[in-house]
Amino acid sequence: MKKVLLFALIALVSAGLAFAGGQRQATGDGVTEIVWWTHQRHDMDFMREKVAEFNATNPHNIRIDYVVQTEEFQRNLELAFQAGDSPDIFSAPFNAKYYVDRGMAHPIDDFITDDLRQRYGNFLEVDVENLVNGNIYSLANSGVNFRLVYNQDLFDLAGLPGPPETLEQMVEYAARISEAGRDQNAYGFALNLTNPQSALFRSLDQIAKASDAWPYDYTSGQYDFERIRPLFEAYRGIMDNGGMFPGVVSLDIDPLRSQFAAGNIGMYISGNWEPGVYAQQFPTDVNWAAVPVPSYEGVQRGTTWVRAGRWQMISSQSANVEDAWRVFEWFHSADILREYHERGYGFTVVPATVQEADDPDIPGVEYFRIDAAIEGPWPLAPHELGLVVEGPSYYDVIASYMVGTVALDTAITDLNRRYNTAVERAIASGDLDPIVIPDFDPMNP
Amino acid sequence: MNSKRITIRLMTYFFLLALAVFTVFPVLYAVLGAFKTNAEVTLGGTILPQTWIFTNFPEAWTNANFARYTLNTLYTCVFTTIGSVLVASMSGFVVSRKTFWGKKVLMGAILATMFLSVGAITLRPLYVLMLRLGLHRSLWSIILIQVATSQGANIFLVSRFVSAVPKELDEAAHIDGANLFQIYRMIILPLITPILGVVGLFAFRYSWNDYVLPSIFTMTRESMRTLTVGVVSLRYGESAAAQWNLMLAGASIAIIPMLIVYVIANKQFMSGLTAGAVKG
Amino acid sequence: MQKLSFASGSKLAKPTDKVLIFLMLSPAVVLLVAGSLYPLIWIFRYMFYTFDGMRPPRFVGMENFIRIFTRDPWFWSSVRNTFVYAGGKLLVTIPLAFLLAVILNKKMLGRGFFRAFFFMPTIVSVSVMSLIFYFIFNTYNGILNQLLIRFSIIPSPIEWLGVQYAMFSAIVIAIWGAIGNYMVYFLAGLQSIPRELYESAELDGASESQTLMRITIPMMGPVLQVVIMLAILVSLRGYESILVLTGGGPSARTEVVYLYIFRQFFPMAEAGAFISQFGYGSAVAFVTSVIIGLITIFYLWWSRRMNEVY
Repeated sequence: MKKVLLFALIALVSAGLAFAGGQRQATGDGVTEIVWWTHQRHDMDFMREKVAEFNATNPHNIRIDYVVQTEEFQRNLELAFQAGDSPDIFSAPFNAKYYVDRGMAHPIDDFITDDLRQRYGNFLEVDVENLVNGNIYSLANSGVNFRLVYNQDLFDLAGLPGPPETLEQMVEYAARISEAGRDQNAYGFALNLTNPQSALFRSLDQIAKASDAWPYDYTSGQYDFERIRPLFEAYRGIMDNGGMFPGVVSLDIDPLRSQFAAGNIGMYISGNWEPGVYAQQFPTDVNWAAVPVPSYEGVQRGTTWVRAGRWQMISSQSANVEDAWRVFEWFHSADILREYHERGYGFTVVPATVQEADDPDIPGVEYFRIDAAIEGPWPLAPHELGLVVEGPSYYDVIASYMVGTVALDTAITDLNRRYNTAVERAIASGDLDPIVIPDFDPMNP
Repeated sequence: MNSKRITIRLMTYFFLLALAVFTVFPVLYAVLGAFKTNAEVTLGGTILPQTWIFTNFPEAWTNANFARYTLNTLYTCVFTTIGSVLVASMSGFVVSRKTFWGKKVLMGAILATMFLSVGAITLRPLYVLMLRLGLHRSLWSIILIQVATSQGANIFLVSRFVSAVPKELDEAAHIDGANLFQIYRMIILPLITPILGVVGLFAFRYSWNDYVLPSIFTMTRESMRTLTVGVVSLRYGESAAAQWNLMLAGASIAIIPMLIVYVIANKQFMSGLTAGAVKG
Repeated sequence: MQKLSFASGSKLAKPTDKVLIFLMLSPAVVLLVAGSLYPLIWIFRYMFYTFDGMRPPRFVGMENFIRIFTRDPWFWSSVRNTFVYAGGKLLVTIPLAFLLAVILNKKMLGRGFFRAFFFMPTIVSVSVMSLIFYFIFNTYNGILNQLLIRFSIIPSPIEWLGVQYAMFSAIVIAIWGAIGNYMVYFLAGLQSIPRELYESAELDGASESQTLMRITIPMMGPVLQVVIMLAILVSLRGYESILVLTGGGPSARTEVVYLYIFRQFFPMAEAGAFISQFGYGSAVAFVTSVIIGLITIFYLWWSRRMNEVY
């Protein structure tokens, strides 16, 4: 009996070694395998469909192996580069400079055709995002912009004229909605504050940009958190005046959306994914709309951010750059980009596609249409380029101030000191090139 | 006296029941969540589903590639379990019974590494090591690391249980001509099944629920992924919002094999040979 | 019992004890060197560097340690949080699990079910359960607040995951997830106590509590000592459920030290790039493990009498 078991075990091991050993499949017949990793899952079905189409029809004997990665995409990608085992193409969660600094990306300038040049227009080269030292590393597809999403019914209930335009209004309206919504347990304002960076980057940062109060001063190359003091106070104000959704410090984005869809939240600020979420995941009867984010004085003194300019990159380790480019070209074609946009996977920023494509068939997308007068690309500040700051980030500090565990003056002084020290050190060690734009214009950054 | 006994008994049951509610309720809540719509799960506030949705299970089954991923997971689990039990029992036995050159150093080293064996810190060097061994695309890297990182605790535990076995038994066998390995196999192993049951159960569970290692060592091969990796990725679907209901359905299915293993292991560490039976 | 006949069999050179000791220990030693010592050496090296994982590492000498000891109060506050977290968890878990094991070791109706119920929390993945606990604990419509209000125990919702109670909630979850583990360890330990001891105690007319104090606990001494040591190590190192539940917040109130270390290696990245601090992370990990090591060694010294039963 025991011998039988032992034998079975040995058989299992050897069988297992064969399938666990995962060698890369040999590709005969001159077929080139292009390995493509992505961190994006929302468009998985569409991309797989297109990959299958490509594999079936392309005349170059290229076979794409499209791998949807797990949550820790960036970590796994870097490990794969260490092993010399990187994919030929990878999606880029970070800007091109990050990958170029680490020797991971291959420039694609040589391949750019006149046709592409024409279709991409001013989005062909977005500094840092896809352009580093004069070389292009990626092509844009969709972009993210931000709006204040609000529940019209709750605004009516509170007798408010319309969505807030100034920071002061935002604070006041939040309280008034909570007041009016007491019977139905509805509240004025919400944030996904369980992750302060995620919550404040989409809301507070955008208000700061719209108010010409971005804490990084491009003209001097210094941080000055005094500029967002009104935001510290406003966010804390909503906590104190009862306008904030209860338990906001542990609120995550999906429960927030769910509560909004159930009519329990007056307003929040987020990106252009939101209409799709309400169309698919959290169906809602709420009469909602979205407007540009408020600013300090209700006058737009700067544009808010449209994050765009990169999508996929070619690996510096790829042995088949030419074929990788063929894949690139096919996937950046006018047809695919248009379909991507129209089926609602992402809002295109490519000028030619903007012209040709129809709005996706999702209620509410019209509120998020990119408006060049109020929003556009921004140069990245050091902390968005991976500046190593000792201690908690300013997002964490704001969250702490909101719950009353730090004092405002010391918090601001401390942030200024830590961030500016970090910039000095990073420049001194060569990790960061100085970012100074003497004639910086926040309306046209 | 008798009524006092009954009171104690009743209070014991009350205590056990209260604790059982505390431990089981969250699990039940998770399983019930698998029958809800995503909107209802994320809205919270309800225990029973408003309407029972049964489609989450088949959807989770196909999306997470359960059939295939379960096979991969079982493969790593089985070998991690066997490896852990073997390594821990052999070393625990030797360490408990024998003195040898370098024993203090060995035990010190094992203890010291237990302070640091946390996935986050050691992932990078372990990946580099597996790369050098040519195992970085194999499930065997996961098995080896899982056995290695849990062996410290297991060796300590087993050695304590071996010390509890009377030395006279070894000596008698030794006089009968048994060598060290034979003593280990014939005398000690049968007497320490309770702790080996625990070691095996915990090793299996560790391997079954581990997410970080499989996500790294299967990154180049989707077909090799394990169940936990599949279940975690269930959250992401067509929308920017996570599909929590699917993930709960996947996790609920994944509980079942673990429960079966628990029942099997429970026999090991409970039926437990009483020392009396052996001494006789 | 099966008859033992060791002497028969081949007359090939009989392996000596020395050879067998070597052979039987070698798997553990190989795994120790590869799986633990090699990463340790890696950490010992990089704690003197600035290293983000991709760009060439830069030697900085003692700089990382200077940062830890002179300008990183956040690390030290995470160490304090860890003591609260681990202490709270251990003080409840160990006695409770021991009590359960003693109760459930006796013949009683439904003990198999109870054992399974208490073990249940340990088999569901941490990330799923932390999500569930969010819905149980949340302020707005969490089940816990609803129940407490319905039974008039509290007048208005409590912010269980807020500044004041977050650590408490994290500890409750930790206890929830750990009771079953230690109950199983203790159950296994109880099996190794010879039945005759109990029988003779019963003949002497000893009460249950006397049996517990005079037989069970002393006989379990060596096992208890090592299980508690593991419990200390595990609770000082725990961070996964906190990572998913609160991410260390609010305002770093639940930031435990291994979460702090984890962030050095895998920082969050939403807006821009992230930079792993392998060098600083290694230094912090080293200092932390020295602290944990000292605690463990102190514990082993303090509890040395537990191992002196036999």
